[in-house]
Amino acid sequence: MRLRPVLLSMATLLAIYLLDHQWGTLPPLGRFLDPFQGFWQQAEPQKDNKTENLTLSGLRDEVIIRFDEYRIPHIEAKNNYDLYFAQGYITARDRLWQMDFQSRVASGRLSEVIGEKALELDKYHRRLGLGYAARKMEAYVRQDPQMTQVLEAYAAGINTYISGLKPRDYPLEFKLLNYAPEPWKLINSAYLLKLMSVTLASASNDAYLSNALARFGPDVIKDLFPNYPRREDPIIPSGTTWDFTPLPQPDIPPSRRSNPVEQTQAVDSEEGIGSNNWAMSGSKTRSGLPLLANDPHLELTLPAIWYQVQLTGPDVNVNGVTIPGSPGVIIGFNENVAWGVTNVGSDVLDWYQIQFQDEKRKAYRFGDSFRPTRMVIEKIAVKGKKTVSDTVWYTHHGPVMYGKGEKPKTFPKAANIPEGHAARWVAHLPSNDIKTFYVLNRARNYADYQAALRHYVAPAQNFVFASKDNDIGITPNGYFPLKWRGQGKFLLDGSQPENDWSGRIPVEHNPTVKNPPRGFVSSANQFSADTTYPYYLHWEFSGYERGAQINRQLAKLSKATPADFQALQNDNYSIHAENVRDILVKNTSLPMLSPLEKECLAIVTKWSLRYDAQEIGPTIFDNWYNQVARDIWFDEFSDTDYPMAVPSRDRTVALLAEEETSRWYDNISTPEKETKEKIVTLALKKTVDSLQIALGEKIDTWSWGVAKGTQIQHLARINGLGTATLHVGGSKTCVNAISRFNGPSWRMVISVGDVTHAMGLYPGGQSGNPGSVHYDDQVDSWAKGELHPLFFYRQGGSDSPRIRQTLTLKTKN
Amino acid sequence: MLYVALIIGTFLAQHFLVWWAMVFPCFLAGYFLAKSPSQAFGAGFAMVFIVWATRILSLSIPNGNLLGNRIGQLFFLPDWQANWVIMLLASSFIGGFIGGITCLSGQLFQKKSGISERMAN
Repeated sequence: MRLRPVLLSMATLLAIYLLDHQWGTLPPLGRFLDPFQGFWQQAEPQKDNKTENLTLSGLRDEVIIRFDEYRIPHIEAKNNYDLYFAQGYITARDRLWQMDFQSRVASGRLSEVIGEKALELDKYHRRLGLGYAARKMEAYVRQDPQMTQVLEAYAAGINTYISGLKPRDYPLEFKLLNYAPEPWKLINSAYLLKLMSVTLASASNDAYLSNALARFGPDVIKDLFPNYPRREDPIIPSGTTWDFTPLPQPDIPPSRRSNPVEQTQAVDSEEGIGSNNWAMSGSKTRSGLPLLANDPHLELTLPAIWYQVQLTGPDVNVNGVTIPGSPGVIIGFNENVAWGVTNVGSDVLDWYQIQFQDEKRKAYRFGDSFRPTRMVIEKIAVKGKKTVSDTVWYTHHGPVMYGKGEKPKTFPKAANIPEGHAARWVAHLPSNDIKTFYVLNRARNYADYQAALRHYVAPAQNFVFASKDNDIGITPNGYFPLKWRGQGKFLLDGSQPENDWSGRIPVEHNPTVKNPPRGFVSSANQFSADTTYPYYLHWEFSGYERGAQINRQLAKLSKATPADFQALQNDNYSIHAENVRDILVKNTSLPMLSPLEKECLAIVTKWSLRYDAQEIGPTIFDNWYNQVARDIWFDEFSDTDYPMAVPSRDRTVALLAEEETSRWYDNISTPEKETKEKIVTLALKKTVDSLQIALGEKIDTWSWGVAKGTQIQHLARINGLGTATLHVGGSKTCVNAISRFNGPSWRMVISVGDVTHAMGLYPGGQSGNPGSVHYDDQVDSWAKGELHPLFFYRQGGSDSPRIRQTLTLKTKN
Repeated sequence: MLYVALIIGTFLAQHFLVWWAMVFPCFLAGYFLAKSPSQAFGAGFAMVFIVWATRILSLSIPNGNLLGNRIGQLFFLPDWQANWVIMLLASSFIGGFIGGITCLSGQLFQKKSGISERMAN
C-alpha cells in the first residue's frame, strides 16, 4: 500500500468530520455554510410570489390566505376546523422555531438541545410545576369538545407544515443550534399559556419582605410597606359603587408569622413589564364611535412575541395579534367590538413553609397530623451528557420548589424563592383561558364580553372593551384567591390550615366598571380599585404614574381622534419626574457643587419633564433619583447575606415630599449624620461622576436615547439576529414605557365598529426568519411612534390593492 | 471533460445529498479524468468553489444579501454591508477545499499500479 493517497484520504475524512460537528456554541461549519442544505437556504427572496397553491391532507375544504404588505395573513375558511388548521399551518411557516423553543423553555426541555447551560432553567420551570399545570390545563380543556377541536385543528396544521419540511428547509435557528423540529402536541399550547403566567404572574418578594419584617419589626414595615400607596389613581374610578354583597372576609389568624430565610443573592425585579389600555365612549370622540387603545409591555425580542392574523370563518371575522402557539386572537377587534389587555399584578403566588415529617420527605405536617407528599421525578435529557433525574415533592399547596440546600447559588431567577417552601399558585389551577378569546373573537356586545371573561383564570388581565353600540368597560379579571387582608404578603406557615386560601373571589365580584360618567376607562397595572373594594388583591401594584397621565390626558379630550390616542401611546411625560424634580432641585446645596455639576443641575431644572430621546435632562434626572433612592435605603435594606425588600418608589417619593427629617436619610455606615439636603446633593455629585465615566466628558452627548440604549435582542440572544441600538424616548414611568429591553410589544388604536380605521404595529415582523425582509420590517416605524393602518378583509369585498400575495390551500381528498 | 464532470457531479450530489457529498464526484473525477496532482487539486478546488459560490449568489442576491450580512455578525464581524461577501468566500472555500483534496486523493490512487510496483521492487 502506498502511503500518500491513503493518508490524504484519511485527512479528508477527518476534515469532513471536524466540519460536520458542533464545537462549543458554533454550528457544524460545513453543514451550516453549505449553500445547498445550510443557512443560505434561508436567504428568502425579497419579492414574494403573487399566487401560490398548496394541496394539504387534513383540510376539509378550500382555504384562501391573503397576505398584505407586511405579510400579515388574512385567512378565510369555510369552517372553523379549517380556519384553525390554516392558522396553525401559516404560523408554523413563519414562526416554527420560536414555537418549538418557547415550548421547550416552558416544559423544561431546553437542555436536550442546547446542553448543560440550560439545566438550571429547565429545573426551575419543572420545579415551579409548569408541567403539572400544563397537563391539568390539557385535561380540563379536553372536557370541552369545541376547544379541543380548535387546539387539535391548530396542532394538525402545524404538524402538516412540519411533515413537509426537509432538513434544508428547517428554520435558521434549528441549523444554528443543530437540532430538528419535532411534532407539535396539543399540550404545547398549554405550555405557552403557562409561560405567560411565569412572565406576568410569578413575581414574588414575600421572602424579602419577611426578612425585612424580622429585622425592622412590624411598625417600620407598616410604615414603609403600606397596603395602599400614598398616590394612586385606581383602574376602577373612585366612587364607583359595588353592586354585590361581598362574601365574609376570612379572619386574620393569630398564628400568622414569618420566619426569616437565608438567601444567597438579591435581584431587582425589573419594572417595565406592564401595559396600558384605555377606551373612550363615542360621546367624547369626533366620529361618535368609541375608540380603544392597547399597548402591552413585555421584553422585546426578535422573533417578536406577537403574530398578527385575521381569521374569517362562518361565525367569526376577527383581526389582531396572538402568541405563536395559541389559536385565535388574544388582542384585537371585529366589526362590532374591540378589546385589549394589561396585566393585573394581584398576589396569586404564595409561599408555604413545609415541615417534613423526617428526612425522607414522605409526609409533612398539616394541622394536628401529617399528610403524604407526592414525589415526582423529573427526567431531564441533556445534550452530550447523561440524563439528569430531579426529584420534586408536591404538597396540597403545590410543589416545594427548592428543599433546604437545594437552591442553586448562581441562578438569579431563583434568588427570591425561599428554600423549604411550597408554591401555591393560580397557574396550577385547571383552566380553559383560551375559551375567553374564542368567545371574544366572536363577541357582538357587552354581554358577550362579560360572558367571555368567566372562563379566564390566569395570568389575570385588565380586559378593556368597547362595542359599536357605545358600551365601554374594564374588568380586572382572572382567578383571585379569597384572602384575608395581607395574606401572602409574607411567607406563610404551611402547617397551619387557617393559612390556606379560602377559595376564590366570585367572578361576578371581580372589580368592573361599565360606562363610567367620565366617559372613558383605562388601566396601566396600577391598583385595580381603591380601598372601598371589599376584597384583598395585593398590597402593592405597579406605580400609578402612567395611569394618572393617561387619565389626565383623556379627561382633557372632548372630540378625540385616533391620532390623539396614538399621541398618548407615545407620551414621554413623566408624572414621577413632576413629583420629584423640584424636590431634588430645592434640596441641592449649591456651594457643594462644581461648575459642571451646576450645569447639570440647571439642565434638570429647565427640563420639560419629558423623556424624549434627544433630551439630556432625563439622563441626569433618572440616574439622580435612582441614586437618591439607593442612598436612602441601601445602607439599611441592602445586605448581601440577608436580602430584604426595598421600599417602593411611592414610599420614597412620599418620604422626600413629606418628611424633612427622618432616620432613613442618615447613612448608617458613616459616623456623621446625613440630612435630606446632603443625601440629595451627594447623589447628584455621584451621578455626574458616573455619567462622565459611562458617557464621556461632554454633557451634550448624554442624550436619553443614547444613555438608555434600547435594543431588541434575539430570543436566544444570538449575535447579529437582533436590532442595532434604537435611540428612542420613553421610560418605565411614562405612558411610552420603553426601557432598555422592555416596552410596548404591540400598539393598537381601534375606531370601534369602523374596521377601515384600525391601526397597529409591533416592534418586529411577521416572519421569524432572519433572512426575510419581514423579520423586522415594522421596527423602524415602531421606533418612530408610527402606527400602520390595519387591513381588514371582508367576505365578498372587492380585492384590496394591499393584498400582495394569495395562497390557496386545497384539500387532498 | 474533467471540469464539466466536476461541476455537474458536484451540483447533483450536493442537491440531493449531504453537504460533503461532493467527495463522490470529486474522487471519481480525480481517479478517472485528472492528469496530474496539481491539476486534480486545482480543478477540484475551483469547480466546487464555483458551484458553491454560484449557488450562494443565486440565493443571496434576490435576498438583497440580508442574511449573509447578519450571519457575518454572528461570526463576530461588525455590522457591515459587505459581510455577505466574506461569508460567501468562507463558505465556498470550505467546499472548494474538501473538493480539492478529494479530487487529489482520487488522482493519487489512479497511479496505483505504476508507482506501487516500483516502490515494491
